[in-house]
Amino acid sequence: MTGEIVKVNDITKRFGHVVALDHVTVSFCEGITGLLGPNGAGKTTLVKIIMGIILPDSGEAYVLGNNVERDPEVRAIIGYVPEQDCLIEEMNAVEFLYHMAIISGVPRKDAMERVHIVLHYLGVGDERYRAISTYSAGMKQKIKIAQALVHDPQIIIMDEPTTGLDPQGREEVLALIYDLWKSYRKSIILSTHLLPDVERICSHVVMMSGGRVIEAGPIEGMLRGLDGYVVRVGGSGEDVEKFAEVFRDKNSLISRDDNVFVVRSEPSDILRAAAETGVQVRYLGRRRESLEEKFVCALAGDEYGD
Amino acid sequence: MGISPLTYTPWSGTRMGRLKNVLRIVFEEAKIRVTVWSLIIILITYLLVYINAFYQAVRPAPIEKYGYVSTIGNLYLYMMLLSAYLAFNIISRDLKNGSIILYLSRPITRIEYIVSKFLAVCFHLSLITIVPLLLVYIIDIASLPQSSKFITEASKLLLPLIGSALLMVILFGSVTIMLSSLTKDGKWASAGVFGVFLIGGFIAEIVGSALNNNYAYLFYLWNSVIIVVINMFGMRISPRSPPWYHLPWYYGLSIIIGAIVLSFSVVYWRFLRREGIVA
Repeated sequence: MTGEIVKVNDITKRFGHVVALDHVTVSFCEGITGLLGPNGAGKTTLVKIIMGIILPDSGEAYVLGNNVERDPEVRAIIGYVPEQDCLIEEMNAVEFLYHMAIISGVPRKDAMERVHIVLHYLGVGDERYRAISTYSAGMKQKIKIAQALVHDPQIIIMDEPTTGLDPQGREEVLALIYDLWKSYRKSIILSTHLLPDVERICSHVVMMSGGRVIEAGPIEGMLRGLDGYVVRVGGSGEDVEKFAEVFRDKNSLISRDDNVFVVRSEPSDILRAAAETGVQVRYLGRRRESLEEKFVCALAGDEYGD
Repeated sequence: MGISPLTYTPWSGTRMGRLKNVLRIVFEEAKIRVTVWSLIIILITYLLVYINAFYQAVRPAPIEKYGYVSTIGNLYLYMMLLSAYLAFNIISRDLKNGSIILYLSRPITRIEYIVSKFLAVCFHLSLITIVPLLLVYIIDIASLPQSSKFITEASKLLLPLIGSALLMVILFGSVTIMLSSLTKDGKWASAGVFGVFLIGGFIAEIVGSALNNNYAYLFYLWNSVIIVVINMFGMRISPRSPPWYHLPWYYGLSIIIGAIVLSFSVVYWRFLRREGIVA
């Protein structure tokens, strides 16, 4: 059982005539939660409202039971990694993080030590004394994450942290996010449009589109029951039709492409049906639905398999 | 090595706690704005203030109000230079490099952010106004004949001295913050400082001259400053002085207060009424 860390209650936000968020109600639990959605879905707006950086037109956001709008000090327990550039490039990493630590309320006597601990954890070596403007995109991303960790928050909100990184940099950032939860129990909200990232490290997902939440819950639960088997059969047209009929009757036929079937059924049932209808099973393999397919279906407003 | 938990109480929420936090940020902001350029401006100011003071020292009476008013007049130019430098950096740079969002994601309110930035600017401006003026004053006092008459006369100058410097610091500080909050491009903010304090003044002078209207001259902020400063020092205005010098001092003070209020209104609108700054 995981606790609720962030609750968003019936939030609406408009920018002029554009409705960025439309009566959004959703909860985020402990662990790593993916906030998924295409560009323009309203993810960044939702994140900024949770942070209290922008105010909603209606509705409220709570972080660990505190209303961010009324009590901005709750931001002391949140770390935020924005999507856009946000580093003071003339400074080096140590100066920048020290500045951020002080502004976050870390006492002077602890701040410098904390800066070096965080930089060491992130694998930033002597380059920490170079101007940030000379860093690679991956290094800059690490510094953005470091500034979110420097004041030891309980919750970290990351907005598109892997966008624009090369494969190695992306791997490093994903491993880091996972470690923050696994080793330090930092709850993370990962806002992204990259579904494979969410599928790899997140336990929960909130899917957004057009300013609305279209699906939310644990990833396992979301995909459970949607796994199936791919079966390629051989035989006369009549037998193949009978075989198809068996699964259609059970309402477990997911899709069919000529002699290739995707069915939601146990292998033993599939083999039994093949024997009964006289078809030869030429291939039988497990098929797991990806989050991407689920997301596309949710976007289209379809019930999978229907 | 991992990231061990940090034990601290970030913010107290009390008024004193908030004030303490603002001062911490002011200190940090003031510190990171000290660069080679700001130091050059500060050092040049000190040099010129002392040259002016030395020049004024050749005078009939040991304590001469005119000397201080003249020094304050010179400071207007140096403050303009330092304000232009600060306007380039103080908020514009946060907007340009996006770090504004990091400040606003910290446990501080927008008002605290603005107040901290304003006080940091005032700190820098004080370095080239209150500090050199007080140093000149102390040197003046030390060089006085040890007569009670001169000491009494000198002590009367302290408050006008600090008052004039503070007036200029608050005026320049508020306009600097306002201009810096308006643009991501620091060059425009710097240009704005010269626009408000210099070019705007020329326009006011031209309009005043063309319309033969003394009040128009007061929109050159220097003119407003000087009539208030002259009044603070209790100086007698020479009949040969320009005609707007004879306007009541509170007209000048109204223009200055108006400029300060307008500046903070713009900052308020930019930060608190509009979300475009971070949306």
